[in-house]
Amino acid sequence: MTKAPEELMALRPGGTSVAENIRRSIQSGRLVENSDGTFELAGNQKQKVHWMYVDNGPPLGCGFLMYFMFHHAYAEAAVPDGCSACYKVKVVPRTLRELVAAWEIAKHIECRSKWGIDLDNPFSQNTYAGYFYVTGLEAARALFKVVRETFAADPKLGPDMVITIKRGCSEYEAAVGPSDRYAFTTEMAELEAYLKTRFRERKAVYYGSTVAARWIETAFRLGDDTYLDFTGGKRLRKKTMTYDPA
Amino acid sequence: MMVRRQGDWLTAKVGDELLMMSTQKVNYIGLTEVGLRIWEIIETAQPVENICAQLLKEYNIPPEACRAEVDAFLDELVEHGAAAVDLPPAG
Repeated sequence: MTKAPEELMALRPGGTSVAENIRRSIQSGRLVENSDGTFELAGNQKQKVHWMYVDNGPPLGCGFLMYFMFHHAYAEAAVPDGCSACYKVKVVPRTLRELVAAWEIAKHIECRSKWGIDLDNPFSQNTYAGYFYVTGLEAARALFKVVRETFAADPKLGPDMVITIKRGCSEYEAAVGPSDRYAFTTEMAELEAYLKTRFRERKAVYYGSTVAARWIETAFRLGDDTYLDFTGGKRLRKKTMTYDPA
Repeated sequence: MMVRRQGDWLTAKVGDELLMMSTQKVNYIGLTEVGLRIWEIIETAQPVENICAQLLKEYNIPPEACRAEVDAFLDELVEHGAAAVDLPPAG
């Protein structure tokens, strides 16, 4: 049975109601309520500079689920029901050469994925990463097998790549606890369906050449000279002179 | 109008993405296939007309569209300090 919007907004995922959480986000300037009653994230959506996206599947809705529901409506006290079946097969390339090789292979795997620099992710200890997005643990296990075999057969990657299965976003586990203990209710699903109608999403600008430039810059700074594969062997910066200390 | 390269740049291809990166500053320019070809053509200083004539030989595009694309790309190169356009002497 469907609850009225007022009842749904009164749900208390943490210590406060969803209505109160949203009110606080608006008051603090992190969320905007438009005159038509829709909500949108405050400020300009930053250009996405770290990730190349492989759109081999339907959109995920992370903009709504993670950036609106989790951060604002649930005030990071609950994982959105819409994320309940989200699993990821995470690949950890060691060099830019491996990252690009894995990304190229991923374009031919029927699964949505993203590839790029993971350094700015405070929940990751990896330099580079690729994430395949899968619905359900069994599907993740099936995809893991495909990815492991496909990557192992590639001479630039081989059988030693670190590949793991994780559930949802790392922020969720950091805030809520281990992902095998997440709790979801039918009311959450109803609330999310209701608030989806009131969420206005602005897409961030995306330029592939910007991402490619960031990849090369980052590899250079980390001393990962495999970036030379993509520049015709030309160094991004010349080495500066050094002087004998004596 | 003569076009010549300026500064030290490298070209890179990452997957399908083409770009130029400055080796002297943190600066890059996204490239199309035609943009990359123009960059190759101006390895030695060239009149703009020569660039268009070369592209018309290689690509099936109308001359006006070609000139517009060349002008737009050269503007971008000049804006980023990657090329200079020398105007003919006055008079």
